[in-house]
Amino acid sequence: MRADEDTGDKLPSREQLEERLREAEETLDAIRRGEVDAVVVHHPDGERIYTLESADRPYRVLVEHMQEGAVTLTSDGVILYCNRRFAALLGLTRESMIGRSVIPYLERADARVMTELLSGGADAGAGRAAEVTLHRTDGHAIPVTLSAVDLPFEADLPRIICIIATDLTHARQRSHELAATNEQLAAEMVERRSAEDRLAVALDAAGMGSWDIDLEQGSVTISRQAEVILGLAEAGSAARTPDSLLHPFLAHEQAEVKAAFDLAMTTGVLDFERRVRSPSEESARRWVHVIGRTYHRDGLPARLVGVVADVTERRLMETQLRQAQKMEAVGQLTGGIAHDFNNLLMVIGGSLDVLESSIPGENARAQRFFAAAKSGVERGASLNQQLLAFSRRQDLQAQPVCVDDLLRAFATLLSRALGETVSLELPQPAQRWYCRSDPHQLETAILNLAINARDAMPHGGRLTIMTALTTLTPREALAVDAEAGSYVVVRVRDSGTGMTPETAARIFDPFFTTKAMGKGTGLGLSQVYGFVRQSGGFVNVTSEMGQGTTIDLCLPYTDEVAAASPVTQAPTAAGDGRVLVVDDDINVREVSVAMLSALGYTTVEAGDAVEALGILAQRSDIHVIFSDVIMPGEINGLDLARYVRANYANVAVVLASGYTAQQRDDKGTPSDVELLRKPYSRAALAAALTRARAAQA
Amino acid sequence: MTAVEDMQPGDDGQVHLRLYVAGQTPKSLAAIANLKRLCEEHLSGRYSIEVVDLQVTPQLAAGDQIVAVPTLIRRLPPPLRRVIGDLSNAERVLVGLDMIPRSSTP
Ligand SMILES: Nc1ncnc2c1ncn2[C@@H]1O[C@H](COP(=O)(O)OP(=O)(O)OP(=O)(O)O)[C@@H](O)[C@H]1O
Ligand SMILES: [Mg+2]
Repeated sequence: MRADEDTGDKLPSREQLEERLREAEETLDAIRRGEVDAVVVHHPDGERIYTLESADRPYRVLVEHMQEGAVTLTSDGVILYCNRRFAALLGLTRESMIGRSVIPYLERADARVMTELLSGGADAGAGRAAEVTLHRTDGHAIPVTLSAVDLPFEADLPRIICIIATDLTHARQRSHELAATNEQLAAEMVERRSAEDRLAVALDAAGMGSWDIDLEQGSVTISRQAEVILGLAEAGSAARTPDSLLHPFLAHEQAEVKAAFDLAMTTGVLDFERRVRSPSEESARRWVHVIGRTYHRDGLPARLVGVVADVTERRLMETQLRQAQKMEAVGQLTGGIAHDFNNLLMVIGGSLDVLESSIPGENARAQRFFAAAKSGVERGASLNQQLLAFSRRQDLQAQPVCVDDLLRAFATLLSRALGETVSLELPQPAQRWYCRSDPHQLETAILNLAINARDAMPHGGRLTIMTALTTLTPREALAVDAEAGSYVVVRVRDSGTGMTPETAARIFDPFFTTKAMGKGTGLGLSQVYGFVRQSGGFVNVTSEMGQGTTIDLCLPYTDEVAAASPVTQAPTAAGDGRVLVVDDDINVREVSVAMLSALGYTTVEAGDAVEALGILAQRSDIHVIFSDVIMPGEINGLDLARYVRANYANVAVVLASGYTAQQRDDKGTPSDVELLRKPYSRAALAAALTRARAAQA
Repeated sequence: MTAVEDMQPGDDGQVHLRLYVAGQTPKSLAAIANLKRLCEEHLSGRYSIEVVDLQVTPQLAAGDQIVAVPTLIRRLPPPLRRVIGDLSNAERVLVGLDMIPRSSTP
């Protein structure tokens, strides 16, 4: 330092001495005037600065106005000074606190902490801190951080500790809020995760898979179940792209599937059913239902999320249900027509029977016309029988039938019907199963199938008829609208042309035929269908163009064995006695009366059951009641029969009906009442009357 | 102004001042504020001030032989000049720093 060097070892000049004197005087002046508030005292071991009174006012102001509490304490906790803020924290005035111990202002448990802060331990001088709780006079607790530091120690002074107290209430509150928010967030996450788990379980139970396309990333997330449904499981899930979701769909439909996905970005919804290749069988197809929704971010499609389900079975069941409903409706219609048609045939056939005897035997021409007319009636009757069969209103005589026995007894007839170019094969079954069925109708059904097969094999081929036993679970049974249980399957397979799916869908419809005019009426399979359904069974058809056709008749299995009793036809016997003829159709009644008269009976007529009962009550010379089953009015033929059997022990009853199956099912026919199927011949009528009267005797 | 003409600035015309204070005592704070104002008025652009806080570095008091605080030292131009006090009397400061002639000798 230059100044020092200048005034160094050399003796100071007079001017310098004067200058120093002047400086010393000025210093004293300044001190006197109060322009100085600190002095430097030069000690051998260094300089010390002493500030004069009130020199610390700026610090005071700072301390007084700061937001922290400040307090100076003796080492045993007596408050020497505290700022306004510290007093405010405790809700007290400063005056009341100075000179008191700080300990009572603390939570009891914190007294020890304070003692430690005050004692300072080994390294006094260093700052120390602790969190404690202050007790306000109003009972509130204030959490604070205390940071303590010792005032520079001087040997002759008592220890003084300075403490700054920072109010933690707000910080605590915020951290509580934060903790609460965190907790809520965690709870929401748990809830969400469990919701996702539940959703996954629910989707699984519903047989659905979920998928999620991130349109921004171009990535796909897909559940295990969805992979299985779409047959994607083998493809490996790494780096799946939205386009890879198209692959399972049939090649020629992929463009349309893609179009549906693209459209969903604008419409927001995706919903379609399409076929996918079955993962297990290359040739098989399965139907999948895809439903989804588009989620937008900033107005742009960001995600496409949805589910996928295999709906093959549902679609199959829907088709079957539709078919069954259609069959039911057509059956109702057919049944109604068949009833009227039957009455017409009855009138014509009956009239012919009556007239026949009045034609002279030598009139060959008239005899020929008569024969033609009668065969026309017979043909009409057999057609009508098929209609009734279809409408499931024929009078089935169900009994245990061994299909194989029936087939073998029937084989010659079948072979003849098939012609020479078609060979018939009847493989031996593993066992002789019995089903409950009407053997005559079963024969007719098999004959119908055989003739169809023959027509499908114009250049010859092979027809195989075999039997098997199958058991349906409730689920499988539901799909074919039948009862669960065992069925005897009569499988009729040909090597013919096969059918297009469109034809196969309609073959059971009455009058559906692809055959030339006059070649087929389209009633063959209608009979088959109606008969099998009425027997409590079902029919399965498998056919492919060029691959032949297989038709399975499934009939309820039974473990009863038939006590097969061939129906014997009684010879026509001349009758005698009085017959009360009851029919609402006057034409039918007249024909019946004429036939009965021709058989030797005398007759009385009634238009309905009430009239008939009136006649019965008046006359005791009625031997037989011959009534139609279906009649308008309160009492039908069956009711009449039951009443007569109960009240007139010596009056026999014969009932005639176009279809009696339903009525018999409902209440049952008395066992000694004869049933006659319309249209009936004179011979059949004679036999029925004879049997009824015999039962009476 | 005559005062300015009488001034003897350093070679480069710069006046270098050093102010000794003791923390933030009221006189120290006042001295800083007064000095700043005086310099702006009379030495604008030609001065530099160095503030030495003896509370922080008491050993620096020895160099300039400081006994009372605040004390202002003119380091440049020589000779060394010192003014003691809070510098509230502008005339005394200017005299003490040789910026105006001494009116009388005490
Ligand atoms: N085995 C078969 N192979 C190919 N097509 C068949 C077969 N069985 C039936 N079909 C088709 O089903 C249609 C309906 O058969 P359905 O037996 O009901 O009537 P149809 O044979 O035409 O006349 P019909 O009343 O004389 O039996 C047939 O016209 C034919 O197109
Ligand atoms: Mg046919």
